[in-house]
Amino acid sequence: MAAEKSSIKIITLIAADGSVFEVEPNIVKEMKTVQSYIDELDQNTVSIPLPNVFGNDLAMIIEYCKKHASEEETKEAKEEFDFEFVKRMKSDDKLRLLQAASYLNMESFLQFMAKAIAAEIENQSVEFVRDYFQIESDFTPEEEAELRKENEWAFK
Amino acid sequence: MELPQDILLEIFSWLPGKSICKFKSCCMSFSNFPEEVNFKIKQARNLLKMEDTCFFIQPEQKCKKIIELHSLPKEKQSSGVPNNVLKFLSSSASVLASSNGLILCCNISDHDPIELFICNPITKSQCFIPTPESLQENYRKVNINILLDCSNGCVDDYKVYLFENTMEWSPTCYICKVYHGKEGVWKTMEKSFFPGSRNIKFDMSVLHNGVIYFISDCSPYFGRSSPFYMPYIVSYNLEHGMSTILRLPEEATKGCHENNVSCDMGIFKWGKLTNQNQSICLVRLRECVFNVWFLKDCESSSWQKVLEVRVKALGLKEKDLDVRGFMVMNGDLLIFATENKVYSCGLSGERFMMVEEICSHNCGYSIRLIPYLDTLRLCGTNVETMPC
Repeated sequence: MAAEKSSIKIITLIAADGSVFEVEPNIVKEMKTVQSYIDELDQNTVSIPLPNVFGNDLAMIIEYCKKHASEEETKEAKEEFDFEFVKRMKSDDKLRLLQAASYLNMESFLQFMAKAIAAEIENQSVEFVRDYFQIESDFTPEEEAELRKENEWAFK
Repeated sequence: MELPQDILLEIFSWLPGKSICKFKSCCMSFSNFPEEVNFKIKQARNLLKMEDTCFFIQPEQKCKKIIELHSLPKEKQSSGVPNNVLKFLSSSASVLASSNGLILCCNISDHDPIELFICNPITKSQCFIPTPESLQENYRKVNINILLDCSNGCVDDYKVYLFENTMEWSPTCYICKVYHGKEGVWKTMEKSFFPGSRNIKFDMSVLHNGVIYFISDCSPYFGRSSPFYMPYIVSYNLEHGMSTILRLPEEATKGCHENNVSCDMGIFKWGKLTNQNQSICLVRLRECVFNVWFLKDCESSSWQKVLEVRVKALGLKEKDLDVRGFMVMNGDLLIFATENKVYSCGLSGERFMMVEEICSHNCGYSIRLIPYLDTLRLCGTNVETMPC
């Protein structure tokens, strides 16, 4: 099994919009969904369709994985990269990437995106957060008023 | 875009407690999941990787009955504790230690024997710890040398370390007792702690890599011929119980116990959480000058100086600049309080020497600062709701 795995040189990932990415095996290690697919196969070249991830997002995820898999990069350089990576993103991008991370079963990338979103919303209002996640209040006005009163300190 | 519940949980588990309480008003499910044990555990575990956002400030004398909590300016909206909890604690207790969202308190009253309890101000839960024998009598006269550790992987447990003075003189000896939240009993460590003959500042300990570090005071009660003439750091290894003395930087001990000179020293954790080379740092305040060193190498006691600055040169607006208390938070932020106000001063990176006013306080002359982060961490077994 181990010998077969190491014989795979290149993995082809096909995004939802048909765009194709060729990556080395160490890049997909973090993507457990992809990795388990590879482990089950008995081939030298693999091509894997990812119908739930768009090309732009996959490109960003691969960029992230490449940076973090690199042994030459220092810890500081990776931190700097992470900072810039999130900085250039809009809220929608973050949410899409988070879902992609969940679909690909990427534990540390999922945490990283969740943390970034948490940092974005932590100082915001209840209304902002409803809007952000597109959720509607299912409280009666009385219930909501009571909850707000109970947690009044948290609004100051 | 509607997100599945587990993804929302993942996001929320990275929020501090105050934000989570605020967002309970968003919808039914947001108000329910913060009550779930698994979510509390996950949030507390995640926040172990985050920096402290608040600090308690209280008078050093435990009987004064004031406890204030302040957040760092950027964290004001997202971190804090409910006012009624603070009010309750102020009126009846004193904070002894804090770790990963739990605080260890002792109650203050004139008649009752001392009671120790662990509480979480966000979830308003508390649990009592059996009072060790040494604290059952005369507790007003003895110091409570106690530490709380929630930093270990096990998120529904905690450890409390107590150092009991055996009253032996030579060598000075403390018995170390450990309380495991889960087991619910005090156990005595095999080897006692031998901190040398100076008085130890037990309220300024640093727990780092399984070793507790303490600093001695620097009062001039020893003659030059004594091996304890100079102040020092002493560590206690929790694994094998060894006590080890660590020399301070020569520059720090120079003139530290001249008569009529005020000199105060403290040790704190040094370096960011993500930094693998975390260490300890020494802050000395002598004659209104701050000096900061960090420990470069423990074995050779080699230190590196980080900062030397006159308090007056920090550009504060106050006239009376007597510093009443200080600490280092998050491994690189010096927090210090004058009689009325609290300030921060960066010790590394872009914020080096950047001074910011944080808040006013009413804790008077001699104060103690304790860092805090609002998590939903569980208090252990036998949990009660706080009466507030």
